[in-house]
Amino acid sequence: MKGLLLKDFYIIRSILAILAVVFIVIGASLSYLANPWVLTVLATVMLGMNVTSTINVDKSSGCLKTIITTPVSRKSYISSKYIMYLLLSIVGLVFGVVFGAIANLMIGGGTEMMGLFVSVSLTMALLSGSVILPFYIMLDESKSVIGTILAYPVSAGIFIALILLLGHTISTLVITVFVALCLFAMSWYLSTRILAQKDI
Amino acid sequence: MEKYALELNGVIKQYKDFKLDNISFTVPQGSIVGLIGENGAGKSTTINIVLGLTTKDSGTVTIFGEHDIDTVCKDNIGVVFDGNNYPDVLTPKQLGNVFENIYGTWDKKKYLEMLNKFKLPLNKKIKEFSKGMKMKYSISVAFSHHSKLLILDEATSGLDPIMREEILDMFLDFIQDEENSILVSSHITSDLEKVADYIVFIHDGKIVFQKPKDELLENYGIIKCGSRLFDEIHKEEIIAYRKQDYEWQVLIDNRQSAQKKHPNAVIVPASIDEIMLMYVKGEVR
Repeated sequence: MKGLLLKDFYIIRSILAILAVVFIVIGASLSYLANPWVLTVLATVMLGMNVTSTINVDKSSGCLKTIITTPVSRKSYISSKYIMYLLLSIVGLVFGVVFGAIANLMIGGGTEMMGLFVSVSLTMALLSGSVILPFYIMLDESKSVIGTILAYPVSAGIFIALILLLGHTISTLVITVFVALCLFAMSWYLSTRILAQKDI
Repeated sequence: MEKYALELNGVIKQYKDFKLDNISFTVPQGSIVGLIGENGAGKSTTINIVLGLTTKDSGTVTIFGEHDIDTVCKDNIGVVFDGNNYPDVLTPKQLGNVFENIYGTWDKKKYLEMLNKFKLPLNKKIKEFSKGMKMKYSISVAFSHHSKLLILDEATSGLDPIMREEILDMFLDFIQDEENSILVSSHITSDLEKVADYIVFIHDGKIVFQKPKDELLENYGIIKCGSRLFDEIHKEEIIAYRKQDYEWQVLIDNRQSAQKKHPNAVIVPASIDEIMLMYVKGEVR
């Protein structure tokens, strides 16, 4: 497992510079146009979704076949992707909060919206991850992009539906994060079950 | 009793347009087994089933006495596929760190020795490697975790003759330890003629034969004859035949005996390539 995480870390590190530029450009624009705390959502989702690049690299390079022949089970391979997604999302969230705080200081905003955006970040990252990861793991490179197309509207839809259903309160935000966490865990479990039967 | 590193028994895999039909063969410990066959014959599918990459419909695959690939100690299996095997944005140095955390038996010293032997740069990305360098790198990895069974799918393709010779020598060194074994599929049958102990010929999803290589090279022959002699040859003697522009070519499995029966016939030893060609292109009795 550690070896797989290290491999994915090296792959993501190789595209980190591009990612930083995209984050700064989009982040600066959004901070100015909307709320600086939106940076938390951006950083969390942007970093987390890079796991899909590692899945595509594994497939296109033939590395997936090689990995399955090493002392790594299919279950460990899938789990490494979900764990990496969680790790990257958490790192993204921390960066997002730090950058959001810096942007707030520069613009002169308050911290009252921070809780809401942290909750949105976690919910969006977990919900979109639970949709994107199975698509990228199960389908080939050309079809897996469907996961990216579906993930964010579906995640936003679930989040808005829960807010409308339960009301805009702090407990609703906690519940949305909990629901997202449950769906993420379910996605993780199902992916390991399905890949165990799949020809590579 | 002969010990087998790998044993396939009645393996069946049905696809829409192809069937791997009742595949059975063995890889005895301390031997090199060459898997030959034309493109699409089922070599790679067979290897994928052995490695658990493809599920089988029925039959058994036994590796080191274990029926389930997931219970086999995979540290003992080194695999080289044709083409690229690793993320091409990584360098051998980074991949070395990765494998150190994957293989319990990873030998960093051996790995660096192999890279040095093949003159592979430690800090160059795999995507900057030539096809031959990528293949050499894959072989380096397979040799760096003390495998006992090497499974190589077209591992020598893309390499120049000198490098192929060097790698074949490494294979021969490897099986000096009688616990080690190699299953190698290759289109380059001349390589297998040099190193293989047994040849498994797969055609159209079926095993045609598994025979000791020496038996094939010493006994098999091709009678090159005209129509009159062709009619005289007992049909039981013929394995396969084909009509060429000016002659018949007849594959037989005992050329010494055939020479006695037909003293005037031109009978030449058959190479593995020719045996394969006769089975695939000729009429099989």
